[in-house]
Amino acid sequence: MTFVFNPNITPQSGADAVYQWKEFMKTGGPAWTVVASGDGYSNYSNSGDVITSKSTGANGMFNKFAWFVIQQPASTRQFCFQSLATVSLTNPNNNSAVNWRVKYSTVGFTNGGSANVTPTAAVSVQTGVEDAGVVLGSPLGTDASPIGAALFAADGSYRMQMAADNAAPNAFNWFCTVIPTPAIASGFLFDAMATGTFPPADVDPYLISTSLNGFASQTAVVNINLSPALGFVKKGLPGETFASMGAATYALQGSGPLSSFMADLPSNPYNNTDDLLPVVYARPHSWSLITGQHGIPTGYKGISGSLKWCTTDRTTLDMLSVLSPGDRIVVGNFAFPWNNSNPIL
Amino acid sequence: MVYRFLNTVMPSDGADALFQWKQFMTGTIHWTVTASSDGVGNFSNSVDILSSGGTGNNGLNNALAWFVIEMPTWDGYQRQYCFQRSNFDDSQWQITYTVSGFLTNGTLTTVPTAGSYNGVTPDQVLLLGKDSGLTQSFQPLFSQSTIPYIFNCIADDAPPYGMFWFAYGQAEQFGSPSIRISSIFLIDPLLPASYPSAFDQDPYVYYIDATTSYTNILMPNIANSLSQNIGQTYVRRGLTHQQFVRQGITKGGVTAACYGFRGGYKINGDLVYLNYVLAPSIPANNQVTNAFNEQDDFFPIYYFALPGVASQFSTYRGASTIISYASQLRYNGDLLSINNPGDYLYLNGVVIPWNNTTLPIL
Repeated sequence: MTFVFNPNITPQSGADAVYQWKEFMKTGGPAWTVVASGDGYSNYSNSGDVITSKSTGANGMFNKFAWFVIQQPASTRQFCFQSLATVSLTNPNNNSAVNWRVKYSTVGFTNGGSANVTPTAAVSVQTGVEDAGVVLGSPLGTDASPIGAALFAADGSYRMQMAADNAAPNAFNWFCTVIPTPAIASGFLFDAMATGTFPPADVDPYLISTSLNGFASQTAVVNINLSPALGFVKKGLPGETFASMGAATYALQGSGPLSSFMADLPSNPYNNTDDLLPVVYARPHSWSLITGQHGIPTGYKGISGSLKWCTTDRTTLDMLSVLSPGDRIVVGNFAFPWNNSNPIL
Repeated sequence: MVYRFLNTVMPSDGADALFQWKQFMTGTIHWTVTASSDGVGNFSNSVDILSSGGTGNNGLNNALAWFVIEMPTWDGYQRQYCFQRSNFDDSQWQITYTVSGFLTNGTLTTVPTAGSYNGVTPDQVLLLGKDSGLTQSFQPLFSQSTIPYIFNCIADDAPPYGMFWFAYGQAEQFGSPSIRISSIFLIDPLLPASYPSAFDQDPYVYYIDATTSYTNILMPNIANSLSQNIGQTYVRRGLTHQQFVRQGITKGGVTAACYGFRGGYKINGDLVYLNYVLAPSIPANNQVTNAFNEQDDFFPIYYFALPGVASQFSTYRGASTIISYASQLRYNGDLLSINNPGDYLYLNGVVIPWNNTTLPIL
């Protein structure tokens, strides 16, 4: 596995961001495939990519209900991105491509679909419903009547950095910062559990995280109410659920409540480098006690293959050198893979 | 590295336990006793003159009897541990530790001291004993009130020579399968690649605990920054501000971090533990083994010197080689089978490598 990068992108809109990301994932090294798409108007394919521009109009990404399904190499794992853009032909200054609906399936979205309706996955034998999870957007939405949520900050306000593994397990991420600052605007992470940290019988050792300015922040990832990761619990087994999972922080017991100390430590005195720690994902028992969460299985998932906790307080976009110069970049409370590119504010 | 085991020893007292441990470490693990004294008539600054755990000549159960035991040299350092019995109780001892070796200046009732290093004289620290200079001061190593007790030890027979002993007394109550742990001594090498091995001169964490409460040992103590019995370690050894942090007494000690989440009854409330709240109660119908392999999950233990207590000593230290957190509560003494039958043992929130020996209930 080797991460490839597409740094310092300045998308004009969310549609531009997703379009550029799609092209990067297809041809920039990750070698994912768009297996179906629709432009929200009249163009649709159940076998290929009809989205050829970031713009509005025919074959454009910046259309309400335009969508595509993109597939992981040598796998049936697929993401379906659908634009919930606001598009006005009479007042284009009010156009917005902030909102999206994103679905994830391990078996693929192979049923149905049209120019403005996303396809569905097969029914899971374990759950009796579509074998997919809604990553972004209200679960009350449907393919016929989708409800989205913000995937990005306001159009044109952010810089975007993309990274993706060019071989198995084919993880990827992107994150955006508010121009001209290092403040996090949004992000998206498809995180593969590190080999050896999960049982081989787990057929989907992945988790997905997306958020606006809470992306990759300790506050959000440990809290079921904010922005925990999403993924399959007990995939392929009775009780299979697409549910929230947290990234456990490192914490101490003292006189008060258990308290985290991430970002409180200095660099290691022996080598003057920051110590980076593994990210353990699990769904704790206490979450199943929350109203609306009863009955959802709990348990350990694995350890992140992409992220490391930062023990030292750093600023987003700071580069760290672990094995080679600038091979990590700070995003929130985590260190992401990086290629030593100088990030632009 | 191969762990060797000393199982199910029932010593007559603390001195006998320590004598049998010394014999195990020098015999099976190839450590060396480099100096010793029986406190009553015989001592040597070069060999082991202790031949029993009893009283009288050449016995360890005499007031102020002592011995120095040396870990095989593996990284250029001469790690030695000096155990001295108190002058009043076979359960109370003083343990001094040096990375550079003790001098040959011991006497019948006075333990040897180490030389100088990095501006520190003597280059030695207390692992057990009150922090009142380096005069004789003793603290419990065993729990006298729990006699009889059963003593067990695991030790790595190759570098980096980790070691863990525990003693336990009678069960929590008649018929309970859970043992009551009363004594722990852990020599925990930091896991290779979890710390800067090229620079760290003493990548070890020590944890010594003896209790009559039985519950406040291991997980409740090693993760509690205010506990009097947490880990001890060198911070910045060989650098400026070198310090040995220990036992909630001097510069706060070293703590085994827990894994925390936010959520539960109070959704935005306090952090809750991951380790041992994946399934927070013992009854079998509430246990959550991993759905894919029906096994308990273990989590690596990372050590940290305490942030905020003394900032120059606040640091990440490394990961444990010997102990891991367990994903759920078990009865103390439960055997877990991960790669082989009974290859792990559950003890108060943590697991250690094990050899499938079933622990008898007293």
